Amino acid sequence: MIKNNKKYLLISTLLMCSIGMNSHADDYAHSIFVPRQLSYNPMYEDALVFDEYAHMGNEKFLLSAKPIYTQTVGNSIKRYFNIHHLCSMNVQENGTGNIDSLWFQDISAIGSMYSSILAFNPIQKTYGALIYGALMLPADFAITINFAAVARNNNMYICESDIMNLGQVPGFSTLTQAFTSTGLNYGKICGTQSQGGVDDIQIKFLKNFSLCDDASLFGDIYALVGVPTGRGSQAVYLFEPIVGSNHAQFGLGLNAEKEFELNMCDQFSLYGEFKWRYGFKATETRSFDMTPNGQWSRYMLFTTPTASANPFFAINNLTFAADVTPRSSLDLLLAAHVGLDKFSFELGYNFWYRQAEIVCPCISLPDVGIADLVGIAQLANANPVTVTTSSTANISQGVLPNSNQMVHDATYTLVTPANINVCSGAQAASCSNAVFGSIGYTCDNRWHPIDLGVNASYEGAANSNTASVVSVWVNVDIQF
Amino acid sequence: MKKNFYSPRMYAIITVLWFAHSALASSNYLTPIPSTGLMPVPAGGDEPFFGTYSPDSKFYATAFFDTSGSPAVFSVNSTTGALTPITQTNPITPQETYGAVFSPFINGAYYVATSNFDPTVSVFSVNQDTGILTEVTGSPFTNPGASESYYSITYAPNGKWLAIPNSGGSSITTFEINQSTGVLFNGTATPVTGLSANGPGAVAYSPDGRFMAIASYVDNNVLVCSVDQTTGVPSSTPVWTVPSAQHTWFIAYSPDGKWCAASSEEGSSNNLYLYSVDATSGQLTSVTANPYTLIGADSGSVAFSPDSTHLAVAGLAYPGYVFVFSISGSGAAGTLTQVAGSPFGTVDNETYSVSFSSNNPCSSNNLWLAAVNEGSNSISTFKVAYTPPSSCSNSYSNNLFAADLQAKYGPILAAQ
Repeated sequence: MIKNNKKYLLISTLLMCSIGMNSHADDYAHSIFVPRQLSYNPMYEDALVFDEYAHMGNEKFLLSAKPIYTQTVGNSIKRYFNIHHLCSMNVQENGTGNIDSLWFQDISAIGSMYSSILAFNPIQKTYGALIYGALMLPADFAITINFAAVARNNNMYICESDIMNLGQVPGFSTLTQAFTSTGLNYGKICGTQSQGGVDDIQIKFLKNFSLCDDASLFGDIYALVGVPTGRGSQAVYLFEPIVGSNHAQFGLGLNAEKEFELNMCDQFSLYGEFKWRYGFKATETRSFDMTPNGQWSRYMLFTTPTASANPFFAINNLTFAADVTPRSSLDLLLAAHVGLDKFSFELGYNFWYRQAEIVCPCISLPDVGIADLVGIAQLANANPVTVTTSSTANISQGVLPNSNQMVHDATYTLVTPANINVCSGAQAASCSNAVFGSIGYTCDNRWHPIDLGVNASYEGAANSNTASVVSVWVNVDIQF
Repeated sequence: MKKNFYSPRMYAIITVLWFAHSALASSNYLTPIPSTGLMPVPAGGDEPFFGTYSPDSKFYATAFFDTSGSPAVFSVNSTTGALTPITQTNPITPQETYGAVFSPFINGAYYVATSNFDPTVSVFSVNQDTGILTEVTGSPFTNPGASESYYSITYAPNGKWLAIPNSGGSSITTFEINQSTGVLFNGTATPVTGLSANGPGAVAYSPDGRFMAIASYVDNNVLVCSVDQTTGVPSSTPVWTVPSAQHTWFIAYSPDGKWCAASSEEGSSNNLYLYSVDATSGQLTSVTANPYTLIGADSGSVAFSPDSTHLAVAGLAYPGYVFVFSISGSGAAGTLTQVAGSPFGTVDNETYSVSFSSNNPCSSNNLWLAAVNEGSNSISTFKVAYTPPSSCSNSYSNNLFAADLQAKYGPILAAQ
């Protein structure tokens, strides 16, 4: 029976890893980064602590405080916000790059063309403390609470290099400057943004039991609820720090541990956790691209029918309140624990998968159209054209007459709700594989066992919608 | 050099006098920030000369000539502009310094560089949350061309180079900047033809980084050199030379690149020059109305407002002042007119430098101006009556962008 269980567990793990590796790895430039929440992460919850929980004797309460620091690393986050997930984007005023600078009102002097290379190196740093508490109840029931009080700092580390021929409009000399403009109400990029608070609170209701009347086997099944503590994304900054969510969660899961006695003082055990969660709908603020205008079309320019020669940032009208449903998340954690006298060592693996969000924006569009820059440019000519719109334009197209010149519409074409690319405002499916290691030490205290530990982990992004993260944290655990 | 003789009581008196003076000389353009009054620099600091704001306007830094400590960094209240000193916790190589300057954003980060007496350049990375400085690897960096101290230090607007005039010689030192670490490398001292010994007073890169203007302290002129776009090194032969005041010491380009101003440390008259700038050739043209005289005051440093419509000048003489001019006209017809209420009192002698909190005309509706008072070891702060240009707003009638589109692309499209 146990053998069969192990076989199924192994097959399930391999299947999920396979899903992870083949998850939807599109190259769409994201407009939102929703970080993985600390309090639901079984790695931070279980490392060293689960073994203590499984071996609580007469104690009724286990309290663990875990100062923690995490930081995003790696290449996936560097490309996360970029068009086609390029390493860097070529900015050319003449329409030959990935971005035409005219959409950012960067227009160089007559006889020259603005150009630059735009790249980001976004880094999210999180520091604070995780708090875990477990209360044993009669009849092998238990309640655990897990939450994190943290501060989060995000910085896009914008790098615009090889700038040639600065823009002439005050405040729009470069794209870097344009991203900080007061005219940009959403999607800004400007230095470090900070947010502090309490991450969502995870409350588990558990039923513990010994498997097959074998004292070396321990297990539990549980239901969990996630209490929201945040307000969701506000979209003012492209890479905004988000602490907590405004989504209630419900989940189910189980833990199991098998222990092998090495000798009187030393043990070896294997444990694991499987967790499924579902996040419910709540309202957030998101920015959206347009279709068929493609990636970064939110950073294009709009006009109104009554002022068709006065362009302004489209993103101000492409940011809406939206019903966001995070949907399901899966966690699988497997770890080996060795207890050698007062020391303990753990090595573990965590697989995490999060479904793509479902986003339903409450679209409220005024009468706007994509700026007809070609028409505006000809207004002062002897035979001006009627300024209309460029409804099919994309962010790479410019005014210069060449193969990538934006098309001037025959009549003013309004942007309609059908033009909103709903997917562009959603956090795409995320997947990661993480490994962690821990070293623990049990202090001599016969009445109230105290355990200390240090832990480190590396979480590798398994697709381009996920950030790789390194973490270090320490445990200070006490039972009473 | 004077020692710090100002007691807390003296500060109180000065502050009261300053408020009274400010109330009498109230103006729309600069308003003293009451909550800070005169912000003394931290204990141990003496004779601050130059200070600047960080590119995100979150911090202000200044440095001291006579101190064994680090640059002083203040946090800036984003609503009131009030300065709060930040206690530095990291070990820093002690230096006697003339000036501290924030870099522009370099790969998302920014740095503080100080020009040191010995002579070296110290560079510090800045924690953007706390304002804590960390000296970068290799700092302080030896200036290969200096024989004695220098007064000015400047980053190129593109964040790729740093330049220092070698006041004891006749050369300009430039460094390239590692874009990941802020570390300086490839230090080069370039002798410039036409610069006499003890010649260079200050340097400024043009906003597009193609030219460098050099204020010549003993030659009474301003030199313009072209700039190597890889190394930031100025040409050894100036491409333009224009006359200026005796002992021209300070110089700055306007953020829009259309103006350049130079001021003189000594002389009771003819101590301010305005030049129009040809963006293509870098040529400076002295405006017809030059020179300007700041009555009763030698000039300290000059700074343009982020929208390039106003020029602030520090007044060195007692009582200290900040002069503010509006700029009108174009080309050689450009003129400076003092705004109502100017000069604005700092109630101190030797106000050496002024700086605006931003050079980005659209970054914020809140704009501050800080003046460093060497005589009383303090910083005067003002709120600037500033409205971002209409080009910044989400919907605007005076659409500079649309006008530029028509001017640049209209003829091209008409020819099709």
